[in-house]
Amino acid sequence: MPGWMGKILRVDLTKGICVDEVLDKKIAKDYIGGRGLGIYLLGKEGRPKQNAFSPENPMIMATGPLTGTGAPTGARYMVMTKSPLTGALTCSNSGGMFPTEFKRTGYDAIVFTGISERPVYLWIDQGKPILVSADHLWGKQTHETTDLLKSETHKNARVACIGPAGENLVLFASIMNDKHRAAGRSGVGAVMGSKNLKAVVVRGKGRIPLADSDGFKAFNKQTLDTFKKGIKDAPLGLTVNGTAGVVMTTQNFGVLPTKNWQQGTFDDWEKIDGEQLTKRFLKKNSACYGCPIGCGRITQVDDPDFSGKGEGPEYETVYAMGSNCMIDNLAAITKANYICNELGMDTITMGATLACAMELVDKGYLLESQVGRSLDWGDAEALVELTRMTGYREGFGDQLAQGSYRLADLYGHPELAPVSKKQEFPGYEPRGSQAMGLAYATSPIGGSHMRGDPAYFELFSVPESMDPHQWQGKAKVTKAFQDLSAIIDSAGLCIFFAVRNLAAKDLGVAPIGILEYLNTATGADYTIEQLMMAGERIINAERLFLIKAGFTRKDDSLPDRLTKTPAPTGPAKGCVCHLDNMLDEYYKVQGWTDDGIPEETLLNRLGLS
Amino acid sequence: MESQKRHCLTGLVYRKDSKLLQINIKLYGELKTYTPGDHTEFKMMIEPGACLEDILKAIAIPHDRFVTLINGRRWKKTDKFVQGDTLVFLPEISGG
Repeated sequence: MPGWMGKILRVDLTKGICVDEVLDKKIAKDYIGGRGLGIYLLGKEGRPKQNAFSPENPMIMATGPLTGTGAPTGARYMVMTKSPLTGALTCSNSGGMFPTEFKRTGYDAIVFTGISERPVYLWIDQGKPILVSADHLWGKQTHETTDLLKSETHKNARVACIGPAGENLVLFASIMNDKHRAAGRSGVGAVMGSKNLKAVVVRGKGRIPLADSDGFKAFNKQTLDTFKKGIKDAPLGLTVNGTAGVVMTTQNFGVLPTKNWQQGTFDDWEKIDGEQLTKRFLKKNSACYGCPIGCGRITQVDDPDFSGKGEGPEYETVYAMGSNCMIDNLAAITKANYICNELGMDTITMGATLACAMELVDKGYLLESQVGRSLDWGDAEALVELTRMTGYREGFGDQLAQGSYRLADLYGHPELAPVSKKQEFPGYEPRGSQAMGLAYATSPIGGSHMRGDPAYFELFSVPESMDPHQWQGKAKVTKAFQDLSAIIDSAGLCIFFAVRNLAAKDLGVAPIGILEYLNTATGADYTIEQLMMAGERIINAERLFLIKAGFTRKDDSLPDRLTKTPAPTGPAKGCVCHLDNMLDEYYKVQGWTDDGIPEETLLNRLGLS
Repeated sequence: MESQKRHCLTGLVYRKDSKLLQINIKLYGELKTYTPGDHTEFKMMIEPGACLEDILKAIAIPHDRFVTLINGRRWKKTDKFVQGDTLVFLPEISGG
């Protein structure tokens, strides 16, 4: 079964046992792997209405058939579980070196169930899994945990672990791998913490078998040659300034979320842009396994108030902790980013929750005496201090640890939370980027840009441009991008390379390059129709889980701030997001009822009935 | 008009006798290397009726890996400029 390793590891943490299971060939082909395999397993075994912290909630880690094969950016794995932040499913994805090493141990996926009585970590040494006591690691930060685990297992082992935030059930705790990469969103780290699972440590030597090695290599060479030719005259912005370079784009479109999503422009944006990051803090680039882009930033801050070393920040962090909090101090943003990585927390939700708290204070709904300190717009010191307190649930940090929705609700103003399905948005303002609003509202995990990213066609002209202010005609393209992202996430690729280089250059974005890679890697003989149908199957399987969990059309929503209050500044001034119009169109394109439920004929076609 | 185009960024598409329009040009990121001097922002005089396509044909940026915005919005290449419009060139980039 080339491409795939053909095995799933089941870990029952209550009983403390590990069991191998064969990966069914048909399931592998129909759901590809990664996110697709994750929703197949979660749909079959998960209990949609159950609490995310219950022992029955499975936490699935899954690689894709292209992970570790040498396909460009084939370095990803996916964590799938029910989210404590949203109550919906979540799939949170990460790259680095851990996913490839994980797959080389011989497993495509690991399914964790139950709750361990004492803290443990899972150590898989070349195909042999064992649960080991983690009492001595509990309470430790992610970098120290990683170093200690490497020294007690193997120096070449790779580690994914939680920090104090995951242990303390911060609702947006992340799972950090290779120290700096994060399966960041929706509290996957808190689910891991609830299971008393501190880390997963892997070492593998197995080669990943390819069905047609020569064909794979030939296509790989052709793809990389074309890519390199393309960047010869103009280096990729992502390589030069990392994702933080996007600040300049979103500011110019007037979609850089600012002041807790009240406006889409930030006067001091040039102080937090990727160019500044490169000039002031960049030491060198870093790249995930097999990636020709290298958008990662190894950085160091010498400013005595905010000194530190690590990786990042990414664009999303810069928006959430920067413009959104009116903070123009890039050193402080970078420092807070390091703290999130070391404590194991999502930077988007952290920054967005803090901005929400700032507005609650600004409007007088929350008193500074309740916060325990001043909390004005632009307060860089508060950002750093409260980020740390959140990870440890100290003082007011205990309330921030619930995310913006619960915080705003606690003080009587849930409308101030910038969320869909209770998850905070990434940094693209839907009033000036209409399809982005549709993507946030219909993303199965709540506010996210990774489950179908309309910024490509609305802001970046990839593969071609569409007017970001128009809502008409956006549903069809958004669906196409969501299906494509399901395929990318399931194959084990990163969207940064795949959307531009492995999809057709029209708004249908057929995954033609991914097809070639998958077929030479797996020998599964996908047709383009079968592959695109797999994307649809995954999206609809996720939708069915949400419906069983009690989600309806009313949950495919945006705050009134974005749909009713016209943008006050910038190029999108006067615009609102026309979500309801787009939703009607979107459900039709999906083959869903007006309430957002997949029609029987569609489910039959996809084999989901 | 064709014969009177100047192939540089600062003086573009105009005849002495026509009533010129002034537009603002901004370049960001690595595109800044194509501006005259150290300026990333400057004003340009253009002939009435000139459109984005005319400007793209005439400018000296030797590749097409940029996104153009007029007044923060995307325009068709054939839409005409009016006095005071701002044309922005952004390098193509994506983020997460």
